[in-house]
Amino acid sequence: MINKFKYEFGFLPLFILFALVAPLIFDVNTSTGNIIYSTVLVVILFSYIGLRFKDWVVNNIIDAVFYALLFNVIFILPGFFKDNETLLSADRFVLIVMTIAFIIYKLVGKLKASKSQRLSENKTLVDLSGSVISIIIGLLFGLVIMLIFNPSQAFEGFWIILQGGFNEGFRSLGNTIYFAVPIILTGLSVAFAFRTGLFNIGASGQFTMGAFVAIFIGVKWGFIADINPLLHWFVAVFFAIIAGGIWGAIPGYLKAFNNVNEVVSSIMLNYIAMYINVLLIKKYIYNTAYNRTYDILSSSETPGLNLQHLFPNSSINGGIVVAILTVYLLHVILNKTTFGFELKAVGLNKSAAKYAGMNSKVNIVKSMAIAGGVAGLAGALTYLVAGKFLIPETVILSQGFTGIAISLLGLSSPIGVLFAGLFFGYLQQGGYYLQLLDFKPEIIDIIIAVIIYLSALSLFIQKFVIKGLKRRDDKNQQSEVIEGSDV
Amino acid sequence: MKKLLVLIAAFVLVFGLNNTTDVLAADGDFEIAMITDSGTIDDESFNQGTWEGITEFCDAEGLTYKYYKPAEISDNAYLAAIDLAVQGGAKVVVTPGFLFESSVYAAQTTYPDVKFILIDGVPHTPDYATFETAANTMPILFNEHESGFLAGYAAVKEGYTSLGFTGGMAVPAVVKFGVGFVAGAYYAAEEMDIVLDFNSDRYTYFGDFGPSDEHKNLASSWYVSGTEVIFSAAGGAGASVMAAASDNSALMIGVDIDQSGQSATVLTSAMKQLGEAVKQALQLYVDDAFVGGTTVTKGAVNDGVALPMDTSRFTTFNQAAYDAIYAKLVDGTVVVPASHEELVTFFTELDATQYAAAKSFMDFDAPSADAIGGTYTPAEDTTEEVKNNEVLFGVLGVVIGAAAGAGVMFFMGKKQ
Repeated sequence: MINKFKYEFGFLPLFILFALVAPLIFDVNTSTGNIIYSTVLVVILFSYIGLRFKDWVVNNIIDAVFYALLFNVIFILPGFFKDNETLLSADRFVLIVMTIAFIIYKLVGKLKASKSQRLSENKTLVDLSGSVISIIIGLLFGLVIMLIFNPSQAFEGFWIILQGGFNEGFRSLGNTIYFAVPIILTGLSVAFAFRTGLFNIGASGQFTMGAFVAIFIGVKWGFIADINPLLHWFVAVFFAIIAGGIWGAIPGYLKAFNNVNEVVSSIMLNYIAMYINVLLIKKYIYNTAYNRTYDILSSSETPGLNLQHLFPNSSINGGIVVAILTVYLLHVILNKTTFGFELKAVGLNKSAAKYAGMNSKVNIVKSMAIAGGVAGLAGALTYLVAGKFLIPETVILSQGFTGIAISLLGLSSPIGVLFAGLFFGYLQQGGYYLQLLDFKPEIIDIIIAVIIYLSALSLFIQKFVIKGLKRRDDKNQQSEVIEGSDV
Repeated sequence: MKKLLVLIAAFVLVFGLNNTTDVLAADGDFEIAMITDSGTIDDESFNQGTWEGITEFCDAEGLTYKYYKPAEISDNAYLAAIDLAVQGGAKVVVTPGFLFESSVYAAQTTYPDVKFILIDGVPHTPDYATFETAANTMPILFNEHESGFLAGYAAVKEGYTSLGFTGGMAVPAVVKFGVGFVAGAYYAAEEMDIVLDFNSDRYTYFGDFGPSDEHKNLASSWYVSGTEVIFSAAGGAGASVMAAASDNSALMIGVDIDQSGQSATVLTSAMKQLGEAVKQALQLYVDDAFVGGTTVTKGAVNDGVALPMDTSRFTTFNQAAYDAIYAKLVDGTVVVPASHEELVTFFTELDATQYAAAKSFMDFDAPSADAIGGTYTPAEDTTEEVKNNEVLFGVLGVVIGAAAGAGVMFFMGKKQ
């Protein structure tokens, strides 16, 4: 109570006071003034949110300030710097340094947080090394395939794949993120269901339904844009989530109440979604001249959030922000809330959860609905982009299945899926630039697919990692004992 | 830890500041580049036809060539693929299909030193407001009506008297195919002095270019009622006609490229010589005589249309007869009508009996190319129309959605 009092009455008045008084003290309309003004406001706001929801969002004030600064560097400053290439470059430099520093800071913190002295019981270490080793194996296998198809350029090509999203600087980095967004979200959908003991193989169907609803609203509901242009995008995304959620809840319901295996029913629903999609497109939003859907209205396009200045000439848009927020939301739900605990408990042992007083049936429906909603969101973000169209053809969209591989690679944890998805986008860009050498695009597809699917072997690799670490632990322990006896 | 930091610093310096494209430029040595359209390179359509022309020409001339696949199907990705091709050292970028129109429009000014060959399209902005062809761009269009004429002529000469035409939509290219086909059929009938069973109720547009069971049923019903050959200028919907033809052991005529390999029911194909046109354009480039800025139209005169005589399933119509009619097209003895109005004039010049048979086409209320073709209907127009009807529906939807959302939230909250 006292804490709440302190935050509520400490930060909010500060925020309002500064927002009102600052323009009187200095001119906020100059670019420097504006930068200072917005930076301070964002810092105060983030500190407040961070401390108010301490357990959920951040652990300490340093984190909060760090997030605020990162927010500024990414979303606010490029807007001011957009005409000045030097300042933009400086901004990019700061962004890279901050991001890498942040990741290492978090990683070291996580590695050190292990309660056990034994390395083999340090879950972060085992997970991480398992993934890294399997990625290396995948890459080596890719190299072998390249050596088979084009030995003279294999190593040059391998270097291009390793460079991945850095091949063309920030442009390819932006494209990496752009292509990663749908994959992160479908991977998240599969991972969330998996954590609650369900195998959501129907992410493609949920993705398709979300995509259709988003495009339908983007094309037809122009009147929302008349109320407020920003509202249009939100409404399209909102209903896409609902549509995906309903599509995901159906197999959940069948599983919970009729004991139908969700794998079977969600595969079937993939096909149903595919055909319904063709039917609905042809009926409502069919651009017959081009055999595809109509162009969405510009008000329903995913906003760029200044990212297009930071990543020039790339296709990047604000979708990554939504993806990261979703990752964080699901992370919190799974790991910090009672609701998430119940979902996981039902996944681990349905009967035990029921015995403990949890409504296991409803929980199954809920977790499938959430997984479906996330896949629907992926569909919306993929197609709420200028120049993207759904084509009414009877082909199941592949994003859902890639999501399964990404979920495996990310070890079914939301944060892991985020990085796995980015890794996928990174590799895809590497493959794209591999076209500069004498590789056929189809061969490149094979190489990338092999790398990704071998990378998803991390669970298998983990066994060996644990074995190796155990041996090391035992040795260490022995030597400690021997040293102890000497003294 | 220190080593790690040094590594990171090096990493940042190498990649973070590398926002230029210099690194890649050195590798590029593919002079002729093609960007694939939405399909694969062996799509038995535009990609394949164009690519075969490029490989044939470049192998003969000793030029380096390569095709690039865009990262996805969107204007932005097409533009990025053009950038990539230029980085790969492309001096000529060949883009097959109208989907490239707006990306070529953007790229032609970015790369004034690179030549663009845009097949079956004209560069314009995405919203169709500005059409502009720069001096380094050569858009290539085809005289579809001449191709259709050859197909119609050959079908009647082969001995078929009951014909039909199905188009995708009444866009200019398809209308030209259809009108040419009708003209060719009646021209042959006049030569042979027979009466055709081909009138306007066997001439229709599907309304789209995708295969579907409806299209198949329509074609089937025609075959059942005695139509011997259907010419289908409808892109992917042609597959439906092929399926109907094989069900009824009848024949059809393919379009754009040689489709004889796709089905045994393909009598012949009204081809656009994609490979030939690309070869001619590349020859101009090699001879340093590349002229951009204006749209090039390929017809019989410059070998732009043809029937694939080697793979056609003709028994009586032979190469000599084909060469004879082709020569007539080239020297202008026969001027093929390209629109409905010209078709009417064409018929009035024909024999009187044919005039009677073709009368239905004269009164035929076919949508003219000018009325429908090319005029793009942007999505906004539909919105305007829909607005009034669906405002209520939309508001209702928002309310229901919000209520559902709140319900879900409440439900979840209670459980905790």
